[in-house]
Amino acid sequence: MTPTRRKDLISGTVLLLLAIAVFARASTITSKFPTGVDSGFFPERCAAVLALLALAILFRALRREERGNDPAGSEDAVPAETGHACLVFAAMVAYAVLLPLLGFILATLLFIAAMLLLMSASGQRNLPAFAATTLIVTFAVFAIFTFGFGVVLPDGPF
Amino acid sequence: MSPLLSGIAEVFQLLPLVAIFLGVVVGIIFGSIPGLTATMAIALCLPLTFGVDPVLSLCLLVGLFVGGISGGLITAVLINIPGTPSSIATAFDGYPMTRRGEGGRALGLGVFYSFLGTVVGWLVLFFFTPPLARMALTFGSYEYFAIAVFALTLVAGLSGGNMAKGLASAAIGLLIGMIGLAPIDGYRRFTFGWNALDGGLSLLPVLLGLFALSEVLKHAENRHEAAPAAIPAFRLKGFFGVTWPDFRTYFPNFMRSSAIGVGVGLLPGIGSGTSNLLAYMAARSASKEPESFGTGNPQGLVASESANNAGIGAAMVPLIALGIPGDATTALMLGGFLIHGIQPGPMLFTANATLVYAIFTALIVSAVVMLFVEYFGIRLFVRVLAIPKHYLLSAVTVMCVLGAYATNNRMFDVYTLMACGALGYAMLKFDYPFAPLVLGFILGPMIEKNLRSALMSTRGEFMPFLERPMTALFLGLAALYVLWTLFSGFRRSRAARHLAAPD
Repeated sequence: MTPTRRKDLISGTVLLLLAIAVFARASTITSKFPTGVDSGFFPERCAAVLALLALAILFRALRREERGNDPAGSEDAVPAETGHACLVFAAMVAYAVLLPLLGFILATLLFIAAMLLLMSASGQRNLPAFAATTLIVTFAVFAIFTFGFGVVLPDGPF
Repeated sequence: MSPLLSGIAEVFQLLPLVAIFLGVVVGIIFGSIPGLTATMAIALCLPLTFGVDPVLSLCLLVGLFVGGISGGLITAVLINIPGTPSSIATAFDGYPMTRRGEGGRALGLGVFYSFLGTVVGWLVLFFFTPPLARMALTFGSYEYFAIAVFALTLVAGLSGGNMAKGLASAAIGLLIGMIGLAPIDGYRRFTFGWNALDGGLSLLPVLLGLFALSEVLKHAENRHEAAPAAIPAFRLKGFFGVTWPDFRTYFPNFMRSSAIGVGVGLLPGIGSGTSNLLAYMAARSASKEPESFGTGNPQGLVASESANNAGIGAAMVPLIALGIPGDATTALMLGGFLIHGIQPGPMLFTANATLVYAIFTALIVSAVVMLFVEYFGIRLFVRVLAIPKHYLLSAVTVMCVLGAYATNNRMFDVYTLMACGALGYAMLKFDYPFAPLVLGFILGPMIEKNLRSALMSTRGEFMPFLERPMTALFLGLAALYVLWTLFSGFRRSRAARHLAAPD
């Protein structure tokens, strides 16, 4: 099974399920006014269209396999490390969770340090520069937003 | 004082001019670095415009737009990697010129014609917007519904990838936009009892997540990419390397390419990313030596850069006159308007004509600023290109998080940001275009509100829609476009099957 076909099968199925779920939810919406259409009208129609499109995508993916030709299905020259991207995403989520707990400055210091380490290849790790960047960026952004724009940033235990 | 003069006066003060300058510089930086886009720059700077005077923020955003579209030419010419899709065709002849030692001339030409292209787009903006806005005053719910559907359909089809995925992306955008209180009757939809969702998802975290965070995640995949190639030396000589005989020779090409750029910019769904290629191909067909294109013919450069910059002013026409953004970049600019409680559209001319003329002024000033900044500052920008990505992307992520938080001072928007970042990344991996989703999200409430108002007037009948000429026109165009795309896709796959099957 070629990568493109598998991708389309997955995305098509997900979209179809989503459309069904939305339609089901929207059909429980009732009208508040006697005239016009209720608030479920538009979601139902959109969900129906989405379901049709999902079926079209699935159909296309299935037909492509039967014909056996898939011009866009070649593997990437450099395999993409999706797992690593998920790791970076986990770091971002951790940052979001820690922001209200540790406050802006502490959480951001930790986050930038982590990001610099995660995003750089092993040959590029210039630790003193990383440390300097972490400090400078954190405090510069803090200063710009707090004093420049008057935005109140999350407070921590301090 | 007439609105035109007061608009000009608003811009020609210290702070707005500084805002334009900063916008152009940051825009050029983002535009030139491959992987960072003009759209990202605008998205990141939107939070900076909170609590700032509307004229100042719009000056900044316009500067970013101009700088961003133009900046891509620097890397396209010097290292054959366009910084933005608007400069893809610039690399075709720009890079060979660099290899021949004419890099300076290529850059000079690119900058000069970027400027001229922007001026043409500005003229279109200045002269077309008021009459279009006047016409739009006669529009009712029916017309707005039809135009928004047309815009959405076009964007779905033209964003690259196939029509089904584009429309699916638009549908998802529409559905996400329905979260929260419904228009007209205020019914709570898809909130699952979560009060934070009552107001729906905020625009800014969605945009930041989709455009900026997803890019960061994509870069996280390829840690081991090679360091940026060494930048060859170059020299800018004379008046941008353009002589008077050159100007006369390139003039027909310039006019044609700018016209293409304007036409493409006006239409929703396509913008500078497409116009540069179309103009390049047109220039090649019109040329007496088509085979020289791709080997360093300056006409190719002229075509590409005139077209992509001419699209800037043109893309802002539907935004300001109708309040309907035509692509992701103008959708972000709409976000910039909305942050200040300004609703673009025909009413804007009545309510705040000064602001409209301030925007027009900002565009032409940005063009001039860009000209000088690029001429004097090109070497500095080239230096910035050498900064390793991980520094830039870490800072970008923090800015995104802060920007999302600053929208409403609550962590919920940061969670929205993260969710949309993940969604954007998934869309990248599964080949779904972003622009239709963004437009669906933004236009959804407008489409639904207008549809429901119109249906209330017609007591639920749809036929009266088609009795109104503009409505019928746009709905008809949308339907024709979808059918035509499906039909030509079907014909193409049948032809491919004929070729593939052995006889």
